Amino acid sequence: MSASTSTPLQAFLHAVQAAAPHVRISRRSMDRLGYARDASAEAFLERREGALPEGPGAVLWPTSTSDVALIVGEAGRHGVPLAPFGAGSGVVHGTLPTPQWAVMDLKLLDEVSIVPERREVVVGAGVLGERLERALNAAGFSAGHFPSSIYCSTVGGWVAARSAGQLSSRYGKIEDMVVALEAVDGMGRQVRVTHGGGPDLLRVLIGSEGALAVITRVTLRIHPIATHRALFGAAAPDVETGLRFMRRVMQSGLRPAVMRMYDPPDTLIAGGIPSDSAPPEVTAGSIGQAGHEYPFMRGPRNNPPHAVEKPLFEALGRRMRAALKHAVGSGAASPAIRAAVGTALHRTDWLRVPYQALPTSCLVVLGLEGDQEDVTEALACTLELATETGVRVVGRAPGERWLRRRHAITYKMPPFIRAGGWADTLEVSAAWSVLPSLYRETRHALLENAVTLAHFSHAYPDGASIYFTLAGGGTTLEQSQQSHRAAVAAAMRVFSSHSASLSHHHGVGRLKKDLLLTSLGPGAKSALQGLKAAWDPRGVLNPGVLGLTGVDA
Amino acid sequence: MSGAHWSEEDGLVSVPAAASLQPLVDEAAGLERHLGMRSALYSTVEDALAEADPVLCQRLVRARVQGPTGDVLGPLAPRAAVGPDVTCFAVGTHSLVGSVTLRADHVVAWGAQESCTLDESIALARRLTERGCTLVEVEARAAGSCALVAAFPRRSLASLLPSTRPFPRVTARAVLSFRVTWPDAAELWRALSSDVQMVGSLTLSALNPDFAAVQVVHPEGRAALSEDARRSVELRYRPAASWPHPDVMKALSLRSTPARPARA
Repeated sequence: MSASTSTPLQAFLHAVQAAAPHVRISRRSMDRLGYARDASAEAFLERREGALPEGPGAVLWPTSTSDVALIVGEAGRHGVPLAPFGAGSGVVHGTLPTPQWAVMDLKLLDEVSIVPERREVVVGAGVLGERLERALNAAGFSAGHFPSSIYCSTVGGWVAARSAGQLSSRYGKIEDMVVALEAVDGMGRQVRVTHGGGPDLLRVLIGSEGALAVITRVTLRIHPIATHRALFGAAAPDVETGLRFMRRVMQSGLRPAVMRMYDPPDTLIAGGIPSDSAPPEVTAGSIGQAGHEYPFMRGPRNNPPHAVEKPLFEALGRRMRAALKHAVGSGAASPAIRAAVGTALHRTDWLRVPYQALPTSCLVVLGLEGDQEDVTEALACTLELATETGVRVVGRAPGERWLRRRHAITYKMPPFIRAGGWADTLEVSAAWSVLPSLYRETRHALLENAVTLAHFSHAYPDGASIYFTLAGGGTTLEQSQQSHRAAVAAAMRVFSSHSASLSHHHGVGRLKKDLLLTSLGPGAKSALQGLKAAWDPRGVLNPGVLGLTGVDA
Repeated sequence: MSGAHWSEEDGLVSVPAAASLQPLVDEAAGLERHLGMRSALYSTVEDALAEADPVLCQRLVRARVQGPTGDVLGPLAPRAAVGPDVTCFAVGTHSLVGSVTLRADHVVAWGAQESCTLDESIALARRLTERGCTLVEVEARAAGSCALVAAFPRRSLASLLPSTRPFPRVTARAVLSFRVTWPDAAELWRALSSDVQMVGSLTLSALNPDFAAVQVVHPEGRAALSEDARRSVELRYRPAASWPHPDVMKALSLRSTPARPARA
């Protein structure tokens, strides 16, 4: 690298290299491209259209908290915007660096130190979820944190964006698991924050998305691996009944590891409702580990078919997916296919009638784990509540199917997107009393721009979250972006009118930054800016995220 | 009446922060609910928040905090914080808090166990919490013995304790409160019992399967211990954040709690 200091970025890189020659720095275009975007819906659209961004001016790989402190300090001195980077699985535009920025990849902060007697693990911010869980499993523990992104997300990213895992109803969200964290503030000072007296500053740094400090090391609660589990399916006659059952379960002090209910369209996608009524049983092995199987095994692509209430819909869906895959192949779709898919999905209100024809039944997947006594008692109580609320047990198959496929996500651009569509997900939490109308009204609001599926999960005594999956289209990039933004905005308006959260576990990023201030009230802007001024007075840390500005990006 | 608004379906209660705490606890009991305590250790909700009472703070779902340029109010939803949780400044500060929403859990039965050792009590309290109990209290008794009371959210748990009759709790106010992980609870209890043997007694409240609160209580509350002595104990056992609080406080026009005069 040249010693020229003609730009702030070059001067910054020179200073870092002089002070810490072991820190790897790259300005290669392929590296910069790899750190240019997160995994947001619009980033997929840009890639599909070949509209590749330049990305940051440089990528740095610190190996310790001291390196991070040095890098942040130099960035501040030279006025260089700096984005911390985990594994890039975010979906809310948390990372949008320009060539004037530097990106700091934290994956070399990879310590995993288990403290068995305290049931804690001290873990570097850059450790991938899968690696952490494997290390804990080898010692007889689990973090109990299984986000769908476990292969491609880091502990630091989980904390920065308030992650939730699939077993959160038992083990909590990441904010429930953090005991302490270490970070570097915008001045390059190292800080350690725990639950202490006074305001809980952990709650300030958790969810700060790299705008206040760079999280470098986290202490998490861990749990002995559960010895027993019961995993089964149930059918609710409609969404409202299913929600009543879920609420009763949570308010009875039960803490199911898994409790998720699919809405009618998602029930069909999830395999439908089997006719089986075999009673669930308690078996050895935890849900996290799937008995004694390999914990992260991906499920077989073709599961045994269940007898569904409306097999026609599922068969139709399979045929459509197969036809699309065949038409698109492995490369870019032809202009004709893209035009057809884009046009069909650009306005989706034609779906109103087919939606109404769907059966109303909802599949519920339940998983209990703990020791034998715990699971046996919880299962008996859960089955009693199911009977009381009108929910029918439908055997073990739906639970086992969910277990096999829970991490079966694709890392390629799906044929649907290559064919001209867009897909996104929105997650929201709300109190039980508003969940039915929040669900109905959000689906209604989305109808104009997107096809929608939803499931209810991450349940708490006072409410739960809804996870909406949306798909739309457009014949051009601009039209697709417009349609996507209109769908997100329409959903957000409904969330806000129900006093629901803007997000449950994806974070705010830049996608929802304006809505953040609106949702938190008139004093939010000055409060958040006050925090930014206190933690990052030079404004170098990920400026723009959460709506918090800094040095010119 | 406390001026509280109860939401039966959501298990929540919204109340002005200035509301007296004991009437609220009593009202909850009348509705077969609880706020994590059988008797109030602070006179008002506001006091409990200002002192960062771990039991009440654990149940805080939403707070309306009056900031320098207007109110900050999060959504009314579980785990609703998005971005940095600004409403955490309702806790441990003198920020003006207009109203709060707290989780109020169902009680379907009570259970108790008297005369067990500290270690047995803590192990049992943790076990009960892991099984779903949201109120478990351990109180010190004479000669190193402890007694435990739990509220059951479902009847099938009642067999876990020998008695279904909870003993009455002594009315007292908190002198000191600590939020601890379960493995630290017994050690802190023993250290505090030797440190503050001249005042009050000790109680433990379960917060969740990971954390508990250990509290020194006395009928006269904070006045039972001089401010200097109290602060000295706090410094010894409360992990100090290395971040300079005053910067944050100043940026948000907030005053932190330690400046507070002692009160009963």
